[in-house]
Amino acid sequence: MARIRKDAEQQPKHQVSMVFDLNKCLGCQTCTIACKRLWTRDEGMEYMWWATVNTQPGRGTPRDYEKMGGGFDSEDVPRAGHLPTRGEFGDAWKFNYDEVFYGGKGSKVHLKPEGDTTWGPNWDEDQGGGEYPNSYFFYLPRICNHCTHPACLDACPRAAIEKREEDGIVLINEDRCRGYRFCMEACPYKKIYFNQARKVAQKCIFCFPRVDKEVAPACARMCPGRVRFAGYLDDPEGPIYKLVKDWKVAIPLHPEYGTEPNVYYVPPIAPPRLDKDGNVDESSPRIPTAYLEHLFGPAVHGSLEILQREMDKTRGGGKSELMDLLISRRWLDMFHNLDRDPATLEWTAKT
Amino acid sequence: MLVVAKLSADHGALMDPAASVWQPIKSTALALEATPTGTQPTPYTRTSWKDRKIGAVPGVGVQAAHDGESIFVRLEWVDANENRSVEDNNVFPDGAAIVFPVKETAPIDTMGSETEPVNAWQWQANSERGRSVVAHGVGSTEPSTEAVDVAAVRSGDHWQVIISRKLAGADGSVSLNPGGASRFGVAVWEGGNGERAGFKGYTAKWTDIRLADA
Ligand code: HEM
Ligand code: SF4
Ligand code: SF4
Repeated sequence: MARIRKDAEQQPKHQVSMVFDLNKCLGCQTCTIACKRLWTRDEGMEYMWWATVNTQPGRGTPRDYEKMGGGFDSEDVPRAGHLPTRGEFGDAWKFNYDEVFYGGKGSKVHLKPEGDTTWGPNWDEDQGGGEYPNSYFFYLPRICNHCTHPACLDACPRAAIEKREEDGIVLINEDRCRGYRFCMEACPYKKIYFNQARKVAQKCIFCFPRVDKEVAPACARMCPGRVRFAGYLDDPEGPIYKLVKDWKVAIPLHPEYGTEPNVYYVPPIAPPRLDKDGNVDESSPRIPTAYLEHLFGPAVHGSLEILQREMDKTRGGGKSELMDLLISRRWLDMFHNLDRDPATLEWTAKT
Repeated sequence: MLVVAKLSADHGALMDPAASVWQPIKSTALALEATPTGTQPTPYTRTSWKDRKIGAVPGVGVQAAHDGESIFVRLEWVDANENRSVEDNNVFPDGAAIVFPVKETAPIDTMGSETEPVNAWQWQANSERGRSVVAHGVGSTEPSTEAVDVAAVRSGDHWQVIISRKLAGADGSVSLNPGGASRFGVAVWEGGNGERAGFKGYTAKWTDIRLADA
């Protein structure tokens, strides 16, 4: 049965969005930990990483998520998807703390993980691809894309998922959720986790309590690499609009999944290749363009071209508005309308 | 027609699926069919199970009794694959539910309709407590407040489950009376087959019941 598309009348008034500049990501995981500290420390959330950063080429989180289906086909019909297991997400390893610290065996037994340790959430870190001296890798941060056409929302038989009218943040209503997990099957980015303790599905909330107070999400504010622009896609004065709509250099991950993501990426340009004699070889890029096209679709060609052109301008001593925008000399400009300092807020404690 | 026997056995015995009080009570065999995919509530649920077998449990035996205050329904079915937990994301618990029309004309195929609610009482293998929900059509279940008692045992490769509630209902749920009549249906979810929500084996037609009088 073809999907009846109701998006037009359901479009939110505004749409939050992020742009990740992959040329600047250090793979430091500060974003990952910022999110963990803030949102996923309760029981049942041990294995959750709403924000992840994986090395590319690599199998991603959960392992091989790109082969798990979900999303929509070219006719807009939902594709069946695989339910990612805890093991595929990398699980939360358990360690023999009790034995080592309280069992009186501290001098004989060493600290070690228990159970299956053949995969973790960042297992293939820094492996990358290519052959020395032309090996390459880059980091790919991912969060829920707060899609315009969310496959998760579209799947839930209880209407437990909503896309907020005021800003397009996609939220799971835990009072309505019955833990059926169709959303986890349907999301092609596999960005939803199941909480075994509470028997509900959970995912990135775009730090909506912060956004409500004009504070950027924690992952974005904490990023030391100035990778993560946060704001509204429909704000022509903001950097996101400029990068996505004006410059057209920021593009979504796997657009063919059909969910119209609202997280965009500035594709990576690696240093040039070296030939047999160790000389610079500019005949082909170090990161194969076909690989980037696999991730970001055909739009990556245009984006790379513009980036290269503007980079060359500055190299020649000229000025490039785009490069200035991407460098973000004034940190707070990255957040535009979400630039409020959280230290200026008065939070009321939960009672 | 299934007759709900009137028994004066104590509540504890009636809540025990293995108790001898159940032996003399007639068991009615009901066939379970796959729920339809075409009427599932969302595009994803309509398409994703198209090529999957729905309704792994083909039939259920039903016995019922009341003690003037509560009704006890005993379900028994074969399920070699016992699923009691949700210890991983792709694991679903076994479950069963019985459903009554709150409004007599309510359709069973769609779990009632906007103006014709149904009331289902649910057991799930990962929970000690039963659950009552009222539905006004597929995808509209809302919990209702009154208590549903459940008990389950494994006997070989069988599940034996008791689902019980007070005869008198409140909060939009069904009310039953000694001497009165109603109709009911049964659904069984085979957790090992990933069955949950709208994917289950169900009785495609209502079965009439009569409650024996005092
Ligand atoms: C004898 C018949 C039926 C019974 C006893 C029954 C019972 C129930 C119960 C107890 C739930 C809540 C499950 C939970 O929260 O875990 C439920 C949910 C659901 N049922 Fe049924 N059902 C029956 C027939 C059907 C049929 C024929 C469909 C057809 C498409 C259907 C579709 C659904 C859906 C989509 C849900 C999930 C959405 C929600 O929770 O509201 N049911 N059913
Ligand atoms: S990324 Fe997945 S979970 Fe997030 S809105 Fe899109 S479909 Fe839903
Ligand atoms: S996005 Fe920022 S915080 Fe996250 S890994 Fe990259 S540099 Fe570190």
